[in-house]
Amino acid sequence: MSLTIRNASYGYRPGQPLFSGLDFALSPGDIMAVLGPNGSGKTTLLNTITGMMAWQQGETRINDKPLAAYGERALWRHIGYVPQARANAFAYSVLDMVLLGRAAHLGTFSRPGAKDRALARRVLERLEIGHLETAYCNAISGGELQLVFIARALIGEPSILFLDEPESHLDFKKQLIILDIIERLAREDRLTCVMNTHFPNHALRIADSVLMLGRDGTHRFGPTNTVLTEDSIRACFGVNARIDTIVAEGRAMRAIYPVSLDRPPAPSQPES
Amino acid sequence: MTDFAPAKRASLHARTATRTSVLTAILIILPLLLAVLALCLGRYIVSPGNTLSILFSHVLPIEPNWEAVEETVVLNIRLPRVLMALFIGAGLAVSGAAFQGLFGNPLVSPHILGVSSGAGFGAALTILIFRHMAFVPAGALVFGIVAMVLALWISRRGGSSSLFMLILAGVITAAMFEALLALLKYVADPTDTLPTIVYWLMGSLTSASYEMLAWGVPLIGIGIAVLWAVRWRLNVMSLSEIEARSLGTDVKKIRWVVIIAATLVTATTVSLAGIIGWVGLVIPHVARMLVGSNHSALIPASISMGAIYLLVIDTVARTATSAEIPLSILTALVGAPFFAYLLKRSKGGWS
Repeated sequence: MSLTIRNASYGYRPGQPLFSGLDFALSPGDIMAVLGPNGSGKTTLLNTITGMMAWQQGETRINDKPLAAYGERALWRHIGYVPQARANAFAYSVLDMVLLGRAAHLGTFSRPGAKDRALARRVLERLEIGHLETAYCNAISGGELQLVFIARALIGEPSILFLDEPESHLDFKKQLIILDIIERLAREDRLTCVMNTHFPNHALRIADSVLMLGRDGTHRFGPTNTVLTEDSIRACFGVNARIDTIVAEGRAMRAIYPVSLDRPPAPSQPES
Repeated sequence: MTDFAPAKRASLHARTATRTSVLTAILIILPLLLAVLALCLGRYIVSPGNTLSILFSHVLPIEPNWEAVEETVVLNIRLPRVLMALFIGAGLAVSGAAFQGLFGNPLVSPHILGVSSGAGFGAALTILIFRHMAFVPAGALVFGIVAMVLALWISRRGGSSSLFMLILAGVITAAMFEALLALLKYVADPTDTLPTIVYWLMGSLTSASYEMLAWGVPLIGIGIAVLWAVRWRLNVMSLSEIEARSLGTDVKKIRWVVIIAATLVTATTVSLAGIIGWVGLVIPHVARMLVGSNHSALIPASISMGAIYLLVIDTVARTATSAEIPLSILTALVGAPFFAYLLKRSKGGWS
């Protein structure tokens, strides 16, 4: 499904927009990475795009229809949301946790059945965590838990996937596993993916387009190679970086390396 | 990380399925068995055979070969009390499990929204005004619901209330009604009404009767039925609000449904039997150790185990000594060491 944001704005305080005049469109199979420093509103952006918080101006359209045209439950059959992996107060088994992804397809008083369980097992196998089915979510690693959350989003059979920093807090290998999965979902299943990330390299690796949010309410949007440049990194993050091309395994990959801080370090501010 | 080869996994599934059906059978049969046993026990012991005959003589053609006093004891004295113990125990445990799921916090008890304090105040007020126990349940029920409405109203901000605000509002409501209750105790006659209030607050099923069952069981039953119906959704509700909404769940609506159902159950149990602590907090934990955290299994298990627990406690309360021990004392005195033992053994590993 296509995802369109039209002239959208949001801010917590009047006159201080987190973002304003957002205007972009994604087609099926597109991956958009959202980059920006802490406090630039990456998570808020996901919440406003998906309608969990209302835009102050503008709108989100899916397949050229406004969100309101879908109705709350029907909307979430088209959208999957992958939160940052965080432990829950209760120890659900991996299978039970993944089955919660069927909630938008089931009535308020219904429970998942054999079909849903079969679907859950297929998704777990596809993500290569089928062996974890009976394990408890609080007894598996952070990377495995993140995969469980992706599986939970996928069994809702969404067309658009939102991922909130899915590869943060993961080790080097797990980051790559997650990135490869997102890339496969976009290329093979034609899922539209919107992914918040702290890693410009990850955007360079898999994103077709990039939305860079600044702390001053400005933003840049465009194809990854146009938007993610040494200049924009300096302007957005205050970091002098070098972007170069590395050739490995017959593939040319652009990579970014942070060289130095652009300004003398200011007194540190509490993170929001 | 647990790693199982597919074949091993299949046999594990089979074993889990067997374990589940055996557990289900036990959780259904055990409360019934214990109920019959409780009907036999008391100062006047009736044999299990006679007890069953008396019970079934109303639906089957059985020749009465028991003494009339046995029938009176079983049907008129013990049966209403046993039924009340089952329903109140089940109600407290299931509303505790529902509140814990809703708040995503295993330390929450059914008394979280100040309902019990409100009901306690209502009971004390009616004892003071009418000097008669007949109006106590009505007073407790009304003020229990007043407390809930008050807590919900305090927590509302711009048309919705966060869980955090709800908990604070519950603390405020409870504090207010506790103070009012203390005031009532202070002005109550220390030779007459004060002991009545104090004993009532400690919880007891001595006043159990069919009249109380007639209005208590439907109220508790409706609440339990609602929580039973949404039991799988409670898993979704225990996640963060954003996650729950992203799973296509109308968080606000289901939150109200669960809060109102669980509060109705709690307020009704308090008005029937006073404030019985501990059951709603601990039984869900013990149930979780047994069947896991999935509320689809946890809600039924809590119903059964809550019923069993309060039945056993109440039977001990009325048979152990000639003067009845108030229930709240026993639920904690028996429950706390047992819970401590379970905690030590499982190292808290079930949650």
